[in-house]
Amino acid sequence: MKRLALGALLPLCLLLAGGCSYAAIERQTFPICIGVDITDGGQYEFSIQAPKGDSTDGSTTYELMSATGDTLEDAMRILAASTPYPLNFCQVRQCMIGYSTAATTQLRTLLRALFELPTMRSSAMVTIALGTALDTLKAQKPEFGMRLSTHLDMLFKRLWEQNLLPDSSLAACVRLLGSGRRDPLLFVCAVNPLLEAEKTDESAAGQEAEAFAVGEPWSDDLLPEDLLAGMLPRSSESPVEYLGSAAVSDGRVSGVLTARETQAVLRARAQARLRVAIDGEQVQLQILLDESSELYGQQAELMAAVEKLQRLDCDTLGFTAIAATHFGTDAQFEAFAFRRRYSQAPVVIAPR
Amino acid sequence: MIAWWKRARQTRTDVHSQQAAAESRRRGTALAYRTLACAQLTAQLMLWVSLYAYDRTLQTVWQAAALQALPLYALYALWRRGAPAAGTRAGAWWCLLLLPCLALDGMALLCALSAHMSELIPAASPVSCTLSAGGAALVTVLLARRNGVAYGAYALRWLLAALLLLATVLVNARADTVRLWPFWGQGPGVTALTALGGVGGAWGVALLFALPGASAGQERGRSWLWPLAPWAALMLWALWHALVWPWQPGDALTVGERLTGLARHSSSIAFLELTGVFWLLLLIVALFGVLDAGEKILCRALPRTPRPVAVLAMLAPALAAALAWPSGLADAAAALLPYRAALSLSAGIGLAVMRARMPGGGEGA
Repeated sequence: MKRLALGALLPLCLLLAGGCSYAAIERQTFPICIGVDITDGGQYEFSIQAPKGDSTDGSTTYELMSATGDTLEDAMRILAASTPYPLNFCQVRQCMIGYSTAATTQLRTLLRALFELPTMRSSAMVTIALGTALDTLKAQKPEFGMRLSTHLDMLFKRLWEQNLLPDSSLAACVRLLGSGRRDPLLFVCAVNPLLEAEKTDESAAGQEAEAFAVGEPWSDDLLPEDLLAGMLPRSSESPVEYLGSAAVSDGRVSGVLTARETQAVLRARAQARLRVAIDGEQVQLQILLDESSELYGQQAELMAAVEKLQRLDCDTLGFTAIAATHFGTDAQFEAFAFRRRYSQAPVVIAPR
Repeated sequence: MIAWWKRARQTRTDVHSQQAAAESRRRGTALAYRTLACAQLTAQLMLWVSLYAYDRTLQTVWQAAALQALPLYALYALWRRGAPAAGTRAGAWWCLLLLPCLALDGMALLCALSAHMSELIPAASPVSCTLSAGGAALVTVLLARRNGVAYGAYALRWLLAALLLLATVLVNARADTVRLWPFWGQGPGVTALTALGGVGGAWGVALLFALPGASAGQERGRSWLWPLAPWAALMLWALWHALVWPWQPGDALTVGERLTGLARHSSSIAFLELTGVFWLLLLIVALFGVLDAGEKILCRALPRTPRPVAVLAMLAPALAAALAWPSGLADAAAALLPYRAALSLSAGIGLAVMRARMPGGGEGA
């Protein structure tokens, strides 16, 4: 009886094993960066940047592939069907979205489609390209001969330590955009046109001067008062720069914060105690700072950054979530319509 | 390894007589069966949060979970009252009312396990996952020694507890207490109604008394702690969902995605893997427990029933439902599963009445 039972166990295991599609690691494509744009024709363009194996000099080179479709899912399916190896997203470090796409599309729908991809790395950083994602990915290359994944990991880690990188991981963005209690800040990147021009000048004569597009022209609203990706006074092999953040309001990107503004906001989130005072119909946003903190001496910058966030209607500090503590039920909170009052509410910065 | 398993059959403390040794072994067996019952109870209650309650209550899901203490302890009090009658011949027939509860539990567990396995192995079809899980459970229970399934659950108790902590408190998903407000959410009425839907999951407290091995040597003083462990696990699971908000109610998620939804927002993929392991172990142990409990209860009422037939009688309806109605788990959660509490209540009342009519009130039975 027991032998029969043991014998019955084996085919059961085969039932599972037979369903597995084992693909060797070297027979899979591991994108490091993915990009999403909406073309002028209104079609979704899905791009991936993946290593294509060592070149003759031992360095890793990267292949850029893209596909378009009526929906993002269509574009992804077309790309997956046209690659020789199946796509495995477990190594994705960055999900780049073009600015015009992020400003006109409900980001949560788009980011959820990426988040739900099988094997997608949930800690991949969502970045907004000041231009198109495809053109920025084309220009992107790692520095110092590093692998692109290492380059991005180290860059993000260093910027995180300096309070220059908002928590814009894919998982965090999907969750925050769904909750409606806090708006995410998304990291910003852009191609520095000056560095691109230098690179083009240095290329051998005879080659077609197929300049990398440097993105859509910026409107006056985006002109930086401070440092921002794409305008750093520097020189480097890689023309792609990461600095600044994009504010999100009502599920779409509504504007850009410079590096200094981003830093002030992120420090306030980490160091300040935030309060919302509600007296009848009056609302006051309070930021309480420890007198010993470095942010205390930068109140003017912090105030300017918070007022800019209010103009952009982006509540990244989480005042909406704090205001909810004043109400007993969701219905009462919704009736108060805090988000409509947020942009007009006076802000007070005071010592704790 | 064999020596380690053999130790489970030995005494829990030093003994100096045959009588003491027998008593010690009985206590050890009771401990193992109660652990198995707790694992089954925990699985049902946690599934209720992930598949039903969180979507309906969001930040107040922990309040709905807290309310589950009422049916848990109400049933506990009722079954504790009637426990001495459960060991009698007539009482065994009353316990047969728990078999449909076990069948429904089995269906829920098989559906959840199949969905979870499909999530881990996307290329495997849900049918093959269901058949593998059901078949493996059948063979394991048939091959196990008389109390082997219970001893196995007992051996895994601390691992399951540690994995639960890793899947909640330590998952590092940026839990924030500010998400618990507004405190009453959609209102106490909605929360209470959602809690009512979870009452069915509390039926399993009856297994602490209905299983032949569980009641023997029961320590009167601390028996109320046994329902506390599953309730604490439920509270932890529900609270962390309320603190993290892993998904929104309108999001179309599969069962497998819901089970690991919390860990998908952790900073490390290791937590996602460990949460996957936790659910695999818990669902498998609970499924084994369903078959074993059903076999024990059926064979006690009908002693001539062959053991394999009893186990198959428990598995067959669950397997058929899971294969024919794979998406039924979500529908059943709202429609059928709450009625398990009614069956458990009926059996408990029957046993309590029986005990009241027993000579001496059933003391010493």
